[in-house]
Amino acid sequence: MTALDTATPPLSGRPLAGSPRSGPSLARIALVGNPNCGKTALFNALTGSRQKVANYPGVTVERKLGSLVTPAGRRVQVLDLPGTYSLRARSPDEAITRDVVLGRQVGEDAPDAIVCVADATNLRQVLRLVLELKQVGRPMILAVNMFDIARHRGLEIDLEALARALGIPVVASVAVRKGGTVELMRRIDALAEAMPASVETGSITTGDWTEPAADEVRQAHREADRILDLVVRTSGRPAIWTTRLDRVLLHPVAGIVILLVVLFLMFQAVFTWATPAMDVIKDGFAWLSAMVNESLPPGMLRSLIADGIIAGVGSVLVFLPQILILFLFIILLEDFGYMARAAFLMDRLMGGAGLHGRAFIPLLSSFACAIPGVMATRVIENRHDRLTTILVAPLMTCSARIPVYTLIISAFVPHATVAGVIDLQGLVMFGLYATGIVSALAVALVLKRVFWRGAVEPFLLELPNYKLPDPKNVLLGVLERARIFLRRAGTIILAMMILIWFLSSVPGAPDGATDPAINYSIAGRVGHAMAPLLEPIGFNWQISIALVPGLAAREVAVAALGTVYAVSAGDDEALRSTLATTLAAHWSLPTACALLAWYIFAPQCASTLGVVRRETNSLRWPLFLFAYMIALAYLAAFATFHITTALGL
Amino acid sequence: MWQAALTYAIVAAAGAWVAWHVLLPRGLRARLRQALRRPAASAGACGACGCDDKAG
Repeated sequence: MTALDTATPPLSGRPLAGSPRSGPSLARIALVGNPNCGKTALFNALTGSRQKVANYPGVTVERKLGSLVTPAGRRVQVLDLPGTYSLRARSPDEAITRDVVLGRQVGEDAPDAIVCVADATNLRQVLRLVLELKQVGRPMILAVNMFDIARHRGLEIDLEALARALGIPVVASVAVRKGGTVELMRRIDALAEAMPASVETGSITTGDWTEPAADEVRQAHREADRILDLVVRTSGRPAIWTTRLDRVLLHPVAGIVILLVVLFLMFQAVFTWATPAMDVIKDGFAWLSAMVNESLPPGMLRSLIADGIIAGVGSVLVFLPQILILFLFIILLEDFGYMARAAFLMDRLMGGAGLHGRAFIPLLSSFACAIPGVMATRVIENRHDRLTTILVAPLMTCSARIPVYTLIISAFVPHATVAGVIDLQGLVMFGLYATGIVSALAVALVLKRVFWRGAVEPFLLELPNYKLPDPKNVLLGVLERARIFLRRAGTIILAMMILIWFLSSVPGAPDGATDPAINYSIAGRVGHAMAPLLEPIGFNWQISIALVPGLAAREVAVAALGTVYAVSAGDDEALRSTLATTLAAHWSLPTACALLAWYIFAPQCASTLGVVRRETNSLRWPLFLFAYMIALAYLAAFATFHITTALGL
Repeated sequence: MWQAALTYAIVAAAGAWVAWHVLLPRGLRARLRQALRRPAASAGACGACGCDDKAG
């Protein structure tokens, strides 16, 4: 634990402005502060949670609940709220914070006290918020976070003076290393002891907070500046690295080139670094399959385990190393502070397509999964801008597409280099990601031109300071991605593969049948029935079978292909070949290209459509999303198949 | 014989899991939980498909 400064404040156990009684027992506190000041890091430090933290604003867009036990043994619920600069909320995420703090959130008890979290390197912003929060009339503690960085930059903050000036307790904090959390919990205890326990939790009423007039806002700014002059001293050593790096990384030309190089290297690494680990996993599943075939007599159980579970789930699990390497890069760039710069660089390009600059973070989140991306659009104030971003977010290449892309690339793109250094498979992967991004921009442009004409609002983004990535945060982030992927493999993919194996195995072939047994199964018949619809885009009946469960989660399509081809093949053939070699033997190159094109636009997994419905509060938009994406997917696959066929590929 | 019985049991369990987590609409699942006096599921973003990837 880092020894940190604390200030003994003029702790106010006194009745609060607007409170009808002396105060409630303290059972719930809310963390409130500016975006990217470390609220979630503090929440994790206090509650032991592992909520996502990153070095850019807008990561938290909904309230999160955890609990802590104070040194005095008091159990307190902790609410982590989206960042805001003011209670005059302008976007949906800020409205959540305002409503919770003011006790207006339906179904949510108001917090008994507020812990206002400040970025020690940027106190001016938070002081305005603190002054506003004081009007609400709840007991409050100020946690001055990132205190170590402020000191390193030569900022001396007089916490005693700050506590006196604000009239609330002030504690220093280094949340990412849990510094100051014990002292903060002691202050929470002290706050609780100063409040009589006789009043029902959550019943405190708010003060007379009303949206301030322009004069009052200016007055608050002047007061914040006055306090800042009193408590902060600068002793040289300004943050020169951030300025120097920004000169290069934010340069209109060099910045864009560096961004493209970074993304390009990321995808090269995904293919080149992951190969050894993928080979180990492949060999492991081949060994496991051989063991099952040796140990169990021929029959249903052996087929279920070898053809259904191992071939199906194994064909997806093999992509774990690639997914983890991709997220390692993303988390490193987030922690470093580069992602907000990327948003700044992309603003002109996105603005040209009619997207608001704030759409960058939701679109970036969509590389992991469209669901957090759609939810992250809450940071966008304008409803039309927000709807546009929601409708294009699923076009960004989510991690569930990685198994599909890499399977087809490894089956059909040779493991060769271009110009002696560039890995061809990585280049194709980069192209697929780029196509997803360009498609999202093109669709956004059409939506804005057709439906919601109007000027794009200016983009204001507070650029975070550069920081060396915290190894623990990076490791936890990568492990979290591994946990999510393995959990999916162990739940939905496993369950779906068992069902697909069953549907591909029953009923068995009749006596005297000459076709493969799977042709007589339920799945075989469904696949053959769908084949005429998908034949124009080059898909065979096995792909037709895989597309249906792929609606639940995209990577299930890969597992389904693994199971369907394993059931079709004999034991010896299944043992000899991987899924990639099987596909290379059974599909033409135009079919493979068409499937890649399909998956750039592939219709959403059901959960994404559900979240779009929740976020838009309408059934119309998820239906529109599904319809336009399936139409684009079909058209893209059709065009790709026929063009590649005409070219004689 | 026991192998076939075990296989069908595994398939039935998988079918039940998919029906509950994937096919049943969220609202109906919540009502069924309430009827069974089970605690409400956390409001995860992506609980239906087993992806617990949430915003933020």
